[in-house]
Amino acid sequence: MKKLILASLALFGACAASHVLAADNRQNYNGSYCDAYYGSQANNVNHQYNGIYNGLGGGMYVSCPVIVDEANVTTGTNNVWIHTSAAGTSCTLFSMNGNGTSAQSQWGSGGPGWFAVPNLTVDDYWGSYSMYCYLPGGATLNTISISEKP
Amino acid sequence: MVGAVLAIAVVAVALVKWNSSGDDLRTAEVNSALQESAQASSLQQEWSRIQAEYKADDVAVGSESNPNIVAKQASVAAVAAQSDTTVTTKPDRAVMLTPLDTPEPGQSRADKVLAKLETQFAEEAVDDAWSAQSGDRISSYFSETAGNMEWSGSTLGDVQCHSSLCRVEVVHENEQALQEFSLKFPMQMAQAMPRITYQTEPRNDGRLAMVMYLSR
Repeated sequence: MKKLILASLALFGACAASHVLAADNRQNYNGSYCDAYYGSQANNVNHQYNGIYNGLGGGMYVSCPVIVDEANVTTGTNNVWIHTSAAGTSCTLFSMNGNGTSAQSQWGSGGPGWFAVPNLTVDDYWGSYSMYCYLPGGATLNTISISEKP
Repeated sequence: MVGAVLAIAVVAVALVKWNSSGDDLRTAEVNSALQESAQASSLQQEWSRIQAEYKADDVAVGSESNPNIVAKQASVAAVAAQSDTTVTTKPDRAVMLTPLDTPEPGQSRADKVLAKLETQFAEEAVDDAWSAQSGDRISSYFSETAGNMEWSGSTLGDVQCHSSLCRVEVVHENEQALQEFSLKFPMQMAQAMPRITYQTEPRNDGRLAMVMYLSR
């Protein structure tokens, strides 16, 4: 009887855990997805295994094509985190309309290490996300983590 | 313990009953499966017919006068007219919109958020110090870029700041100006007002009119 009860509890626990994992609607991107915002600076970045490196010698903008995974949900994000190697990194996350105009933007700054961008509260059914960051010279943008509202 | 024994007994009785009526039950199952198979075959034929019809339509995509498309649109409109539910841009897995569908005005979430911000802004009291400081911050971005040889092509219109929100109107000369503005302006304002909600409309003269709500 005890075994039966324990087995039931284990099954319940497993179900609960899988539900919690499903609620973590998060996408992590390697920073090497990003590229120089201005095409003329494209030769000054390295797309490294651990992110995008700014070899310009001064600050530059990089554009990061982050993805809307939940197109049906237009209530924005739960968490946005960025990991960078240097202080003075700042990022703006946009929710875009399908026609290329912006619906909303949010800005965050920090580093070295993780820093947060406040959440978007609106996006468009046919729109995408867009992120660009100001990356100081010699800095590497390592990781972008975005959790959308499920 | 007694409960467990009772449960086992109930399961055992059910198993015995199932075995005794096994032949009848299996015959019924076979008949049911055959019926389902016939229905599936009929549905398959119907699906093939619809696919063929849509393939024929695809050939003439872009032609608004295509009689098949017009007939379908009329049919969809008739069904929609009979329905009590209002079709909106609210995500609905049952009604799959296409990007070519025209959303009902004022129904999207972005429109609702903007309407809410407008109301909030109108009802908000004015914090004189913050209002003046924020207005100056916004104006100085434009005066600095306008004085620059590389003027970005964006012109400031009306600026109003209350106690937590600023409402700002900007006109962009073209798409390029809008892109440049979108890159630089949020970064410049970010320390004081990190969240910006936008609405951009094309004007008859080819320029782009933008209304923004900046929040601290």
